[in-house]
Parts: sequence; structure tokens; C-alpha cells
Amino acid sequence: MKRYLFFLSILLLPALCGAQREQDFASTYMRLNAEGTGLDCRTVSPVMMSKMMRIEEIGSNSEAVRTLQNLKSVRVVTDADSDDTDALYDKAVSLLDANKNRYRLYDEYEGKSLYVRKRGKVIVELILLTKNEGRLHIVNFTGTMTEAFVKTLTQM
Amino acid sequence: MQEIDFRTDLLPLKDQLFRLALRITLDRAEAEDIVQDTLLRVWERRAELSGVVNSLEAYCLTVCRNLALDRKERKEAQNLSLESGSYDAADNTLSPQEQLEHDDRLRRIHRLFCQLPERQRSVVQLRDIEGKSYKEIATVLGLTEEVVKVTLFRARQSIRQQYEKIEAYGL
Amino acid sequence: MDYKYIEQLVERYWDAATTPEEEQILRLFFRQSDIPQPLLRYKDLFDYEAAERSIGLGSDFDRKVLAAVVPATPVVVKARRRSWAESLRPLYQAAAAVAVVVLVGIGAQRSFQKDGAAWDYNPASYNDTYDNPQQAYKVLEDGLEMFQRTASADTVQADKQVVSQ
Repeated sequence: MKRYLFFLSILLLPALCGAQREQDFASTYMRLNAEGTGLDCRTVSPVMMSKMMRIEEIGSNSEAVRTLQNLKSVRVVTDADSDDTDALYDKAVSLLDANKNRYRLYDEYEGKSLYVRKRGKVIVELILLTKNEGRLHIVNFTGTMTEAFVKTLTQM
Repeated sequence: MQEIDFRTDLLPLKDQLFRLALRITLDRAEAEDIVQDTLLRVWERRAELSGVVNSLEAYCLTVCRNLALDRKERKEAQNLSLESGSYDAADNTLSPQEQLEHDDRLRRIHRLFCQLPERQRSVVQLRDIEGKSYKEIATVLGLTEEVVKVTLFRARQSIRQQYEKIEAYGL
Repeated sequence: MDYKYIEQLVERYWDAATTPEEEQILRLFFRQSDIPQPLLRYKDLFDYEAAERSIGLGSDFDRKVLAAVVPATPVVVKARRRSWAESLRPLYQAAAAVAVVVLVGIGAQRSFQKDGAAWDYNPASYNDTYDNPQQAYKVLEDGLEMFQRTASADTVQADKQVVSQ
């Protein structure tokens, strides 16, 4: 039995070493700030993303498919109350600024800020932050994206 | 075709390159290394640059900033703190002599500048201290003039808020 | 001197609405020794910037860097590279070995395949809000919609304008 567990753990080592352990911005933000607020986070998991591809209306739309192929997950954070919006927005900015090594400001337009997390040349996380129209929105994609892809998102 | 001369074309840029690298890395030793790297790197590529680059100055500032950010990124790769609102670490920007000359008030303003996010810091450095135009800054940072203006606005507002706090309570 | 004018300039300075010439006026004004009381509070800021402007590298640096620049002949390129590599910190040697297209901005010198090896998030941390793909797709659509540029400018400080495209 001991030997069996030992070998099993050896097999698992590659999975444990430098494997997938990161958290995206929205989940961290929610963990730190959601309690006692009207913050709501809607999540689409990687598993669901691939399920979506199999829906007919989507599968036949080549642009939708192309978008889905670049993305692995989606989280959309919104607040219910316009009273807290400024404070919650500032908290998001502080969290991003406190992690400048991880999240870099990529673009700003029309009251929206775009941040990215890159690994090498690949953009693995894209965050849109805005408080336009008095409500906080954080849209957090993860995936394997290029700058060209991000450009298409902002120009559609 | 004008040949780039190291002594007359590149070396005179050392001071503003140093100031920018220092503003980004907040470390004198690093900043000096970066300036040296920048000048040598540009010098290496001078054959390709002559006649192609409109402003050697802007090009050097771009190289300098990119090298500084790269170094900063490597340094910070170890510290992934998602909890604390930690600003850029220990301030190695002032030489011992400068530290004696700076009084408390200026030191507070200095800290305020260093706490701005990097892009805002760089824009303020290039505008308020180096006196560059939006166009030049846009070229160096690879942004549109509009984004430069918005960034400068945010930075100045931030400085103003913090500054007025210092004035009100910091005495 | 019309102090009202300077006060207006200062206000516009905070709004990033001043021209380089106007900023120069402010700098010159605050260099004086007899600044009126209401404007005195801003002197430190401009003093700070003036002090920062005087930071530079000395002749020690000149000597160091000139020593690394070997007199130019095409044949000597290799030799120059060697002396450059010697002065670099070990951490930087890897980067120096790779051609850097500097104008394209930052990128660490690693490369990841686009097939997902770069994606390092914990899949287990994603709990679907909706069970069915149609509703989940709506979330994605809502998200994508936020990215799009609109015809109307929506910045916090500006009034809403409708700009026809």
C-alpha cells in the first residue's frame, strides 16, 4: 500500500509543480471585497465555454467560435447599488495598482480601463474596469489571447 | 546620411535617460546600468537607425523605458502580494548628499510622485520635468496623444489630492 | 503681476489643460522669492520639480561608458559585443543573447505556445453561475458588449454627448 501511494504521488508531481494554480482578478477582488456589499459575480467556467461551442447557433457563427477559442473563462462583476460604486471602483484600482508587476494598464478609452496579465507574449488575462453610468463593471476574461484579438474586441 | 556620433549625439542624452530610468526603477544603481545599456544598445544599432529614426532622443527614451520596465518586472517577479497595498519598495533614488539637501516637505512630495502607477509617473516625468510635448511623450510611450493627456490628467489630480493632504495635515 | 492669471493657470495645470509654454510661465513664476500668500502653497511642488531636473550622471559615468564603446570599424563589432557582455549583470546575459525589438514594448524573453500552455489558472476555481450554455453565453455577450467603443463619450468628467459616426 505504501509503495502504491508513493508511486502515485510521484505521478502527481508534474501536476503539482508549476501547474495551474493562479486566480484571476475578479475572484480575488470578490474574495477581498464582496462581503456585506451588493457585488455580484457571474462566472462561466472553461468546461461551460467548451459546451457553448457545441450549441448550434454558436457553432455556426464563425466569429463567435473564434472568440470562444481564445477565451477560457469569463467573470462579470457588477454592483447593485450606485451608492457604493465609487468606493468599490477605487478598491479595484488599488488592487490593480498594488499588483503592477502582474497587471499592466493596457488601454483607456471612454471611461473604461483595460488591464492585461501576460505570460511571455501571450495575454492570459484581460480585465475591463469601468464605472460608466454610475455602476461598477469588471469584465474579466482569461484565455490565450493576442493583442490583435484584444483589438477586435474593442472595435467590434 | 548622417552618421551617429557617440560623444555628440548619444552621450548628452544620459541625464534625461537617467532621470526617467530612476523614476521608474527608484534605484540609482539600476538606473545607471540602464542608461549605459541604452546608450550601448542604440550605438550597436546605429547603422540601422541613421536616417530612419526621426528623433534619436525619443528612440533612446523608448529603449530606456522598456529596459527599465523589464528590469522592474524581473525584480518584482518574486513578490506577488495580492493582499497588501504595497507601493514600490525602498527608495534608493537620493544619494546621501541629496538626502541632506532635501528637506522634509520635498521628501514628502518625492514619495507622492513615486507612489503613482508607472505609466503616470513616466508621463509626469517626461512632461513636468523634461518638458516634452504630448506628441513626443506619445511616441516614447507608444500611446495615442489622447491617452497621454488622460494619463497626465489622472496623475496631476492624484498629485493635487495628495499634495493638499500634505499641506493640511503634514506640517 | 496679475496673480489671478497665475491662479487660473494653476487650476488648468491640475486639469492637464496647460500648454508647455504656460507650464514654463508657472515654473518661472514660482522661481521668484516673493510669492503672494495664496500661491505660496504650490511653491514646494515646483521647487521639487526644479530639483529633479538637476539630477544627472557625472563624468565617472562618461568614462565608464566610453570605455565600453570601442572605436568603430566594422570588423570590431565582435570585440565590442564581448566588452558589453562583460559589463552586464548575469541576470541580463540571457536577454542580451536574444534580439530585442525594443519599440514593440515589454515582453519577457519566454515564449509560450498559443495552445494553452501559458494559461495557468486553476480550473477548479470556476463555479458556473448558470447550468445551461445559453444563459452562460449571455454572460459572455454582456461582457463582450462592455468592450465595444460607443458613439457617445461616457467619461466621468464630461457631459454625455451624442456624436454621430
